[in-house]
Amino acid sequence: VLDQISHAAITLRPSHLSAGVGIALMCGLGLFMFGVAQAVRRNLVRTTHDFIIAHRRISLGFGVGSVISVWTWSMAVMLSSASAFTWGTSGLMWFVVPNGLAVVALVPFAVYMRKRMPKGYTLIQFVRERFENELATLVMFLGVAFLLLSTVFINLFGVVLVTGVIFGLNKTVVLLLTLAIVMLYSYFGGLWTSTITATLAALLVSIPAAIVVLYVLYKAGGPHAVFTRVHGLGSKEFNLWRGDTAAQFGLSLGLGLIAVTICDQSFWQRIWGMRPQNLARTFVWAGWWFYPIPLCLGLLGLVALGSGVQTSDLGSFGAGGVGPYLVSHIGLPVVLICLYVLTVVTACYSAMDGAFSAISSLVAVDIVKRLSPNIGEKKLFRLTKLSIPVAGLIGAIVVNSGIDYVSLVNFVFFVDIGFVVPVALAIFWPRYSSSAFVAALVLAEAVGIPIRQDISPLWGIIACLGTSAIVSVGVSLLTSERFDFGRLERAEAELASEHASRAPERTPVSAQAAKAASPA
Amino acid sequence: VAIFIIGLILAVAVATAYVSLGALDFLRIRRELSRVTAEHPATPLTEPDGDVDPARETVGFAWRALGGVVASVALLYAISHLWWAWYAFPLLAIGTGVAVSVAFVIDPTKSA
Repeated sequence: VLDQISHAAITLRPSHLSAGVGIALMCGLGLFMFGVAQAVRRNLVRTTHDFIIAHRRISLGFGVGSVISVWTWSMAVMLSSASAFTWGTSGLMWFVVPNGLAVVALVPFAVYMRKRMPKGYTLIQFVRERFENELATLVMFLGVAFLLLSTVFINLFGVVLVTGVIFGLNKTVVLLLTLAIVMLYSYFGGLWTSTITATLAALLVSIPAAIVVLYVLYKAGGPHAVFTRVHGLGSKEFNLWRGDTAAQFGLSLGLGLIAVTICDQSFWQRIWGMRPQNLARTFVWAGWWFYPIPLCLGLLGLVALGSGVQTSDLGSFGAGGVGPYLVSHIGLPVVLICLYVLTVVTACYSAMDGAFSAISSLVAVDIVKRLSPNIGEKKLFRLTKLSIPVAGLIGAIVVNSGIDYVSLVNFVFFVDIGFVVPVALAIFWPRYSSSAFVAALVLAEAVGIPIRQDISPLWGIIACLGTSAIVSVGVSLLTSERFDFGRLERAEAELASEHASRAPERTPVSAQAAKAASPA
Repeated sequence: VAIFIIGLILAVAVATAYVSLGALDFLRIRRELSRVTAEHPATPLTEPDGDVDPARETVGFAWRALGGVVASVALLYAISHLWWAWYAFPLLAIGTGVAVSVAFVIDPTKSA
């Protein structure tokens, strides 16, 4: 009987869901997140400091949940299915393993940075204090801002893709709606909102993924049937050690993923916003428990393979659209299709929200406070929030320009690889100099990008990493300077005393809070 | 269908626990902030004490990182050879919800 089931063809038919359902899902989720953001804002956010660093009181539960969620980009949800569909289990391995490892690999960076700069806010602030060099600060600012804006673009694309495949929604409508929704709830809460909505998003991504995949397996005739069908396509789909996957896709993606976490202010904001005692455990747990999400959703790619889905069936969306295509064609109940859409849209909203929150911290700490150190609390709060719609507007313009999703992802990851060695050496090596930092960053991109374009992505990565390592070490060894990391803590202490001298600004809010806390 | 129904029940139970524990943690943080602000109404909100000891925090870090890599590769190897191992992935995705719920409960800084 099992053999008969496994050889029976699966009929794939479109579910013909109306565009209105898609819009209702997007708006409904946005409304829910907005409600949560309002509750968080009323209860926890009182000053710019609360807005950008959450009193440094993020707990273990919110830390683990929000880190999982911030890292679950549209890619983790949809590219996991796409990589399994294109490369079999080897594609899934090359996609998933570096993804989880990238989060755990942050532990030494996080604990050393928090030890050396306990009251920091942004990675750029660290570079400024560490090198005291405007050019180094500017280069780092450009890199971090580029990555954050790219997070917005990539996740906007994710929403466009899923709603386009399942509901046939117009791209511009989806772009505008998504931006309006996410900006609205990001605008009202900062890091507390981002952390708490992201923790809810981690739930909305992991549990529905399990339910949807279990039902897809059932509709496909069970895992045994799918397993037999995929086996029937040839042994390579279940060969984890395929060399072509590593060369054409795995190595470049893996290195790129690890680079992204190290340069991503969304993570650094959480590193400085968490209770220090929870730091290492949060990132280890988040890394471990991130793995199951792309692994689970990757099964959709294998089911699609076993169901005879061809790349040509996916139209202009390409392999990235395989998950939404399968879910909307295999005959799932409408409620489960909607649950899948919620999974993808939640992941995208959450990653964008994290990026907006990080952008606002950059603007507050690295632009406004630098240009106008004595700015009033209210004005600083307004300017910080204004950065969110500005970033959203830039995102909309880029996505609407017609740039290709996969090319954008690959390019962003490639650029980030150039930052890994300089950022790591800046944190760990006292002899690393500002001129070495700037030269390594600029030359790594200048050498790597043309090689990537003209020869291959893999050789481009090797050139990029090699150049940044050689230039970093070579230029630093030319001088005998050693940086005293204790200076970072002393600089922070000075800032703290300066902040304390401006304390009366907070008095009304504090008094109000004290009244609210009073048992009477 | 039986496996789907069991999975669904499990998922609902985990989601309920997750939301409840998250709400309790949120209320705890709010109480803590109000208490700290009430104690020091005229000064900026004090930040929690605590130091990071890199030497202690990174002990066994490489093993823990490697553990995640080995476990995920082993699972992928299993689904490449055993059809019933496919059920492990949805189960583990539900496990993500369990892990965050446990994190809400065991937070060592809760009383801080």
